[in-house]
Amino acid sequence: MLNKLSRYIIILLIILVAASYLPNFYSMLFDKKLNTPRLDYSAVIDEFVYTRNYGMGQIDYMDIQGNSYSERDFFALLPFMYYATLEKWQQLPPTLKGVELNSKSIRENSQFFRIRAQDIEFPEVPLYLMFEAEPDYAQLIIPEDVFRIGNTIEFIDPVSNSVIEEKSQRFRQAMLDAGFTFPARIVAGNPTNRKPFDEGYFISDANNEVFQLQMIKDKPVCIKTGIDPDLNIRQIFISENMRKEFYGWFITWDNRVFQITYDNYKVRELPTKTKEGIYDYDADKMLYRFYTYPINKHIYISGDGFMKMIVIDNDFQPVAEHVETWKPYNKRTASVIRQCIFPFKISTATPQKFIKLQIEYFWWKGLISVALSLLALALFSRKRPLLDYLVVLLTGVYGLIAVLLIKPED
Amino acid sequence: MEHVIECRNLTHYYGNNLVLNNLNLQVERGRIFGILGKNGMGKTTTINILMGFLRPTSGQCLVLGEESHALSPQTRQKIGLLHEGHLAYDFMTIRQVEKFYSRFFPNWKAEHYWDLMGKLGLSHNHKIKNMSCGQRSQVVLGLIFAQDPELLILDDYSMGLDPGYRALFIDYLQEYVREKDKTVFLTSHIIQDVEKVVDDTIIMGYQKLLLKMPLATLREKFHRYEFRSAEAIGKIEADDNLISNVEFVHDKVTLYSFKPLKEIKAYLEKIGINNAEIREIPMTLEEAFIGLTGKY
Amino acid sequence: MLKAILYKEWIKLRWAVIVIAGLTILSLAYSIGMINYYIEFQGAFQNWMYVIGKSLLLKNIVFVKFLPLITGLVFALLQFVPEMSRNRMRLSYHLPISEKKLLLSSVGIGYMFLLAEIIFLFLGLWLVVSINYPAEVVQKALLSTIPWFLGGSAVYFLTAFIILEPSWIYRIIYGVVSYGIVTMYYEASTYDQYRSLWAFILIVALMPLTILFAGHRFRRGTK
Repeated sequence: MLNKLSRYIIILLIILVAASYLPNFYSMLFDKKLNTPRLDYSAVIDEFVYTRNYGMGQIDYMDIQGNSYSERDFFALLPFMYYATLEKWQQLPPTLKGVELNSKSIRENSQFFRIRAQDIEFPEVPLYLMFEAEPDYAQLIIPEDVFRIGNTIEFIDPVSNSVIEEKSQRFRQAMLDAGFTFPARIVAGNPTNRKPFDEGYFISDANNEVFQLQMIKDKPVCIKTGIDPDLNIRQIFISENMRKEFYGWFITWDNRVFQITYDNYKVRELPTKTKEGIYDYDADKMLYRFYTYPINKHIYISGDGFMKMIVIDNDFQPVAEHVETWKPYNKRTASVIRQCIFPFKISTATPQKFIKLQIEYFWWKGLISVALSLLALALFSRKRPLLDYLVVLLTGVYGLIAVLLIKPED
Repeated sequence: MEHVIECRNLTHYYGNNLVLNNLNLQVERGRIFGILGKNGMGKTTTINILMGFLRPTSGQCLVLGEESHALSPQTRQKIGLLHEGHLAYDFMTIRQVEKFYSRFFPNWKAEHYWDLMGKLGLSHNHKIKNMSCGQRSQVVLGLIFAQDPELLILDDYSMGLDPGYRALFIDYLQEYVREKDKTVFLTSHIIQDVEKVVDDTIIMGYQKLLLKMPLATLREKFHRYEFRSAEAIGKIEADDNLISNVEFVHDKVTLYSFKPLKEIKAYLEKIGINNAEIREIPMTLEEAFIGLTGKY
Repeated sequence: MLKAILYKEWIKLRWAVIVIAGLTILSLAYSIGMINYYIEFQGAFQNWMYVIGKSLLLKNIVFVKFLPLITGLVFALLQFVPEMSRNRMRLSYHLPISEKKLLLSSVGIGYMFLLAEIIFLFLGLWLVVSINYPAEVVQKALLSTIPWFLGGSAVYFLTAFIILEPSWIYRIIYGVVSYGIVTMYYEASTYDQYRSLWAFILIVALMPLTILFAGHRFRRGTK
């Protein structure tokens, strides 16, 4: 009895390995690289444009009306992207639609951020740096302590590996005075000194109220931002930028994206959906990119099988949107065949960079594998215990391989 | 008399190769049983099945009343095995191996072991892997005797042993068995030794049993006859009845048979060989064995 | 009888246990040394930045990562190669103890020593890291070691399994499969990257049972 169990455990291990490696081998051999377009929007012609790279220097420059451009003409369509090169070619006009066109002015009025699945939750050590927000020097000074924040806030001195009681108590009190209710939940900041200035940390408390915590002239300053606690914030990102338009941005659990503006922390929702309603933004599976240009703003939402682009003007009013789709990975021919051969796939990688055992089932095409495997088992091997058939029923070709390799010993 | 070992219709294939063909065999209590046969005739297969390290294709093999491949631990306590090559835990010393084994057998008779070890003349901390084949065989033998089993199965006890150790082995074996009504089942290549100890013999041939009888009977009933005759070549053939085997060397003819001389003479005359001076030549067991199984 | 098996396994393992115990202490000492060196060299605060931001600790405790794996391999080889050479396993299978008890206790005893090393490493690391770093770092570092300890355990059980299997073809199959499984436990590039460890734990927990099938095949005499 135990011997039978032992055999099935061995079979399980074989299936585990087979399901982890075989589909990948197959993909390595048979997957073809798709040629997906790179979308952009030209404020010059008020139209979406794109490039397609065929490799070996062959690139198509098109707009979505079907017109084709030379490289130079194409670059001229996108002055806010290629200003440096256009200046070199002396093809940069002085203004466009009333907006000044020169390197300095464009750079100062451009900003970019993105939200990747792996940025939202990732393995990190929850210890943070509190910078002096108004230093005496031109640059930010790296502090000499770190702090933790959870049920309370504590500053730790690395040299002695102990809590700096006095400073911790001051900050604690400042937060309590501002109305902060411990324990803290989200802690968001930008822990590098390579930024123009420091806005400290945006921290949400037990009641989902968001506070800004800074150290100014060595004193803790904690301000309640008043951001609606019912927004169900999932993660906040802070990025200090000379433009001082927004402190940062955040996403919510229902995949809405907001900016935290400098106008008294008022939040501004950013577009995440297009009229077509397909491929609505899902932070765990898609990439969100937000480009601020002097003349407009571009939003990209991209993922497996699509790229969406939304253009809004400087008042955040919609201008245009466009969606390009192509066959998503699981619908391409090689993939479809793969799914008929392999009923499921085991992998350990997640988009969030965690390592976790995951099983991805290929419904219903996987059943073909199961059916063929059951047939093969019946044909090629006589007198198999019922449990072997059950294994093949559940795992298809993997079970078939395992069960044929490790014969029952009875 | 109950059978200590009983095999019924034992059949075994290696792939498509039939090695054992409905073998039937019984070993009675208190007897020393010797199994002989050329290599490849199924000796090793039979012993492996008996020892529980091979599952026969079909048929049954009962040892002390239990299926040999599924012996209970209690039954295994009563069986002493000597594995081909005198397998032992090489990494242990003389003292360690006794200490280890003694824990498994409530009726452990340590004096038997130390008795033999005394004769070995080695330090008790001497590792088995540093011993010669013969010395190791003595350790193994000592362990088996100390175990005091009802049944001993000895697979090729003589392998790698020089005459001194072989003789020692036989002496001890005889003494041990006679005293205590033990049963022994052994195989060996050195037939002279077997001859001294064995009560019953089995000789295995290709896919069949050539012979199964007490040794005494074999000695009594198996004959070797010789005569010279140039014309006999080709006229005499072995069969299952009269002539077990026949050999020709120049004009010398050697016949092996279970039948008396009279019948042989009559047969020869029948096939036209007259005036042959036939004599019976007595044989050792080894010669008998070769006689039955052939020289190659 | 189990005491006898412990006695036998101990005879085979005792030198290795001593050597490995020494290596374990050396590894911890090395880790302490490396940590202190980096703190001295970088300054406490800068060192903390590297530890927090660039997973520096994982480099410092690299011996801890691989020691259980090596130990598992060595113990399994030392225990079972002498038993399998020239079919010597027959001796053990003939002992008046059930085959399952024999195999499981042999492996259990070897694993006991490995587990002792793992626990010693875990506690030693806890001490070493706590002295120099705050609780958050200690927690992340210790959580990072769990997949490695599971991996070392897997190596032990699978090596024993491969050795106890009588046929070379099967051994090769098992070897390939073992490689595929063990690598799953060493994929981390930063702290505490594993989630849902229970699945990984379950897989290792099932591994000791595989040796029963190998023993069964040995007893059947299948080639």
